[in-house]
Amino acid sequence: MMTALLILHGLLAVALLGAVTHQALAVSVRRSEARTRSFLTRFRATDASAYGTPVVVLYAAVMLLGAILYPRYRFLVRPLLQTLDLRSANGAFELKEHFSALGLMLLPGYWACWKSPLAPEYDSARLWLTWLIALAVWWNFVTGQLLVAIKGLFP
Amino acid sequence: MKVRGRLMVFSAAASAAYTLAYYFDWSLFQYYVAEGRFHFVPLPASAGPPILWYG
Repeated sequence: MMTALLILHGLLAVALLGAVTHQALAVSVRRSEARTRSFLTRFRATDASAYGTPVVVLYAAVMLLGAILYPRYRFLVRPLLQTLDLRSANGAFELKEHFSALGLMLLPGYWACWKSPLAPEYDSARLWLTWLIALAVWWNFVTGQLLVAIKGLFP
Repeated sequence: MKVRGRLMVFSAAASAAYTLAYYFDWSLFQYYVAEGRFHFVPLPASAGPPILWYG
């Protein structure tokens, strides 16, 4: 059961990572780039506002699954990290926890910024909140993947 | 204040409150994994590792 939840947690995190990365790059697009046809430009030339609600829903779902899985991590994995003196891994996961909580608290503001019709007075907040959430999601994803593979990395 | 403004204020205030609560260790309650119960008062170390809630 826990393994299935962990896999689902990871899969939803992939979807969240893709959505928020797309949105963060799209919201940063410069007008002069919109006419060029490179891969990066096309990647960024998406309707960023379409990702607002999906990102909120995915973030909440990933966090909920993480909260269900967390007691097992706290009881089984974290003592192992401490026993093996893997302080960096332990610290990285501590940051993941805090970034997750702070990201959850930023979600209402983020959602308000992306609510249609987009309010021009929130342009700056929209950019910064999107990037803050994107960076948190990236950190959490990479840290989560490293922790899952920790036994292979430090045999 | 419109709904958007209120949500923005909530996000800013909640983030600041969380940071302060963590810094000063003002956890609202603890969840003890070994016994699977919530407590408002910290238990001795023999109770096992707690999960702290700063929300």
